[in-house]
Amino acid sequence: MPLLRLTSGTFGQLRTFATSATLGKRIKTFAVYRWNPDEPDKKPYTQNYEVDLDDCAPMVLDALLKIKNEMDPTLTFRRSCREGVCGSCAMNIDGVNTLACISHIDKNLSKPTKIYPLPHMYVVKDLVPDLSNFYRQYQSIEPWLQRDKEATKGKETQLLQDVEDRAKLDGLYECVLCACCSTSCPSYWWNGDKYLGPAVLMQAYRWIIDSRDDATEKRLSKLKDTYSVYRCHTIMNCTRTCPKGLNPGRAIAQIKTLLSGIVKKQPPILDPAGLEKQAAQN
Amino acid sequence: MALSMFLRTPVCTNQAFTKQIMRLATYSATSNSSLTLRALPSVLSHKDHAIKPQTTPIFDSVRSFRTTAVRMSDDEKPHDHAKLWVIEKATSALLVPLIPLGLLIPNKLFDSLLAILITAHSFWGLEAIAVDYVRASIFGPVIPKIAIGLVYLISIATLGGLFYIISHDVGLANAVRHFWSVKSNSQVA
Repeated sequence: MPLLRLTSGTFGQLRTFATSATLGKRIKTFAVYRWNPDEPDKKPYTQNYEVDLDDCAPMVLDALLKIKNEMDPTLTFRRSCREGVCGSCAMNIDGVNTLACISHIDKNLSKPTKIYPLPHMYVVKDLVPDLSNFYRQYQSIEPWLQRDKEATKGKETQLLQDVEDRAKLDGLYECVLCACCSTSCPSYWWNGDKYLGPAVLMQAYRWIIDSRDDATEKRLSKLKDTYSVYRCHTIMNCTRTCPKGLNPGRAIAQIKTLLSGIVKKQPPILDPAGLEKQAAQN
Repeated sequence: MALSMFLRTPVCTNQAFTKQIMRLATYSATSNSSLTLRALPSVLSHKDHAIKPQTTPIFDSVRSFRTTAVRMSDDEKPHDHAKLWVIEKATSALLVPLIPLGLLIPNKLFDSLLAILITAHSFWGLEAIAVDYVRASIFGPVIPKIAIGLVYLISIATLGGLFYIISHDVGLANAVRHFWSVKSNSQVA
């Protein structure tokens, strides 16, 4: 009876793990989208790879790296930080746009995990999408601080910002531009050439409501046309899919209220040029 | 990174070298993949580079960086959609109380107001559908314009029809009420 107790519970699990590790019992199939630009006429296909989960780290990116290292070196995908802060490994995993490095492998062995590139993007190779348009759109919103009077070189002082004003940037600055949200938006699929998409719009908002930024009028006037913002119909796929837990849908709604003229940007609580003025007095 | 810095600061003003790098970095997706098969001229004429290369460089280090605003949508007059958006949402908001109110108190004024609001609301909704889905990139230059034309046509017909019901028939609220008073055969028998 005491011997039986030894085989159950944690000790029992340790025992079974120690004996089955080399048997490869937990095989998971990954169905990965493949396309090679060197053979452009060959249609894209799904290739199945079998990975022993007992011999693989828990995230989807770990499985992809294991496949690339041990089974198929031609499998191509972007990756960098492996901790969800760079945005490189954005892809569609089991129908959801996320970062592969922070996406746990689904332990259900009866179904394969489907890995596809970000939807409705031109594919460079396998899981690598062409994000040129996305970056061009980000560039177009001028994602840098703009002041009415730039400080004279050599005499720059710190721009003051109240804690409350800084809190307005929380939930906006953490965006890693992975493009998961924009590529999950049907409006961006159909009109991605002219509609800016949730990622870029959230960054536009980040600069619009920064208390230190003076170019609010200019920034808003660039968004007034039919396509840049107003193709958003609050589908909210963006917020649902953001791997960083951010809310681009809400940011776009705030932009719409600012564009309507009903809501205005609050003046800064602390004058950003406060220190500069103080230095000028002294 | 180093290469981009090198190219941007005119330390080496050797145009031929810069052009060579641009040529290497610019790679037409439609042409054959092998760059080595192309005859690479050592010096490209000025005329070649007077025309902006139609292909995008694949190496980001050689891409030119534009800082001026890139106009993403049509370069027409800057169409102010913001004011229109406010009116669209106001119409939607107004419909919420006015439809029950109009049904409760059938009269010509409410009916007319409702006819205008409903037509406007439907027009903007259908217009958004046509703008979103009937795109020039898949349908060509003519069909999107026809689609918008159809939306206008349907809206005008709707407004006309609704006003006909108000002026020559029982009116909108009464028409809806009459729908509910229609009894089926089984109930009548």
